[in-house]
Amino acid sequence: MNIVASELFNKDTGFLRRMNWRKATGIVFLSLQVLLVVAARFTDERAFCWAPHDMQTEYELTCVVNGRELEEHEISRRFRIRKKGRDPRGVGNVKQVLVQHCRTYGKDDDVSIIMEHTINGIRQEPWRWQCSPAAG
Amino acid sequence: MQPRSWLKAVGPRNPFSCQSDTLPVNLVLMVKLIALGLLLKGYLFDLSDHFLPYWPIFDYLGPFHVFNDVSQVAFLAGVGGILFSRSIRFGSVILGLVMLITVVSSRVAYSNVKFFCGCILLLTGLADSRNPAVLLRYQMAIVYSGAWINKVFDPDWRSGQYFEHWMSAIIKREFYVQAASLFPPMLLSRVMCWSTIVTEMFLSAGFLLRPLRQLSVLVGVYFHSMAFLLAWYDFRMFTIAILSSYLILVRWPEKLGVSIDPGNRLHRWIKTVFARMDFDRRIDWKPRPGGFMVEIFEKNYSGFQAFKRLILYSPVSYFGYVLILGLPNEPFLWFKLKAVQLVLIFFFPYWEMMEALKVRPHWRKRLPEKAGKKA
Repeated sequence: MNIVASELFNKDTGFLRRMNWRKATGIVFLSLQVLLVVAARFTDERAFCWAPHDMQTEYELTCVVNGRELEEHEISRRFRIRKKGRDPRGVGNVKQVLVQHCRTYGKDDDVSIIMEHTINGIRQEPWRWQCSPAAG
Repeated sequence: MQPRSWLKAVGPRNPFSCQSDTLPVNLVLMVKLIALGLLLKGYLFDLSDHFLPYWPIFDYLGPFHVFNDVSQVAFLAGVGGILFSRSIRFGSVILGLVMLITVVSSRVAYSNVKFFCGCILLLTGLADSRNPAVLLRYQMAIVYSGAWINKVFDPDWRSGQYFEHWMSAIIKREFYVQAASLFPPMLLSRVMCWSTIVTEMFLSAGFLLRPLRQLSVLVGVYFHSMAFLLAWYDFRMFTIAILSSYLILVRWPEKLGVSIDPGNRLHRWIKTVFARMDFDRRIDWKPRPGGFMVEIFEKNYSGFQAFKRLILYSPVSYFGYVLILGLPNEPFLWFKLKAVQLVLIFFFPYWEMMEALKVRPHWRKRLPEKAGKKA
């Protein structure tokens, strides 16, 4: 730790001496990442927290929009993810794509989604999501 | 005009030159390799069109296709600025921002590789002239810290379940399944998972602590290369990007002093090849009858050690390696795997490890002492 402190605070060569806007921007940028790594502990979404390929989620979607079940190509066009696929970024990432679409681009539709999925090969309880134009 | 003369006529604007007034050679080389890798791996066509952004403000930035077109133009401008040395810092910032905006502006376009490249490029553009690598080293420490922290808190990584499932069901490596069957259930997978965690812990410290930096380069390069060899998959751009990032820890010499025997045909061939690749004129060739020697940072290396270092301190070698790794897996996977294996075997520091362990093979004692001291 003395080596790190010396590198940062040394009177003549310390990085934190003679601050300028570029250094400050970089430090803020890195600090944000540290916060996001900590925040990732409290959510099942794995984004911006340096958790690459740490969770293999294999899923199959059943999506009913306005009373009609969507076919495979319709799900791909609507959500830009496959009806049946694998996501290495985390199950939360898949869920948030579906939820955000329902709340934004698809907010005028009555949508019901069931996601059957496994995480690292272990079957999970099906995830269900429903939103209607009235509830939003 | 011959291609080489044309490149030299362009001067420091040629893509293989790593000269810069504001950035050290190792960082210029790093961003050029990343820019080249992004181009080769087709990321120009994998940019976001702000579909389902993390920040709602992106939904107000015009039609999808316009956003995508602007991103592509900025991408090409950044890559061009970096590769042709028009403005490496500015190009790094532009390309870095394009990659970061791509991941922030679309959940479906998010990938850790794009995020990583964006961070490295942006921080290189912001690098301080006096301590250019500090922000980058802290970035790498955060990357590895985030990785091992996430794994340690994941029960599937602690138990080995992740590796067991990934190797047997996702990428289906038969040799791994057979090897795992020789041990108690889940033991090999648990060892692999915890080895990964411990390695990432070490690397996160290695980027911060000066005494660990050299060893971190060795461990990190071999760790990520072995992941490629194990998975038969380069994780698209990730292998290129993460290997290039280890140049952050490499101290690059201003000059290399290379002594060759003019009467030796092999030495003359070496000079012909490496002089052509030396676009920055860093190699100082000297005639020296009887031996091939390379001087770097006031240390002399001879024979095979010297030849390895000549390759390692030639930027063109790295471009060649990225060109190989940038080939599509179909149909070049076998070629890429062999190239990586060859590099790992060729550059393994056998002598340095024996020196460190104070082991001298019996046949070395019989060789006469050569002129110049060994590192």
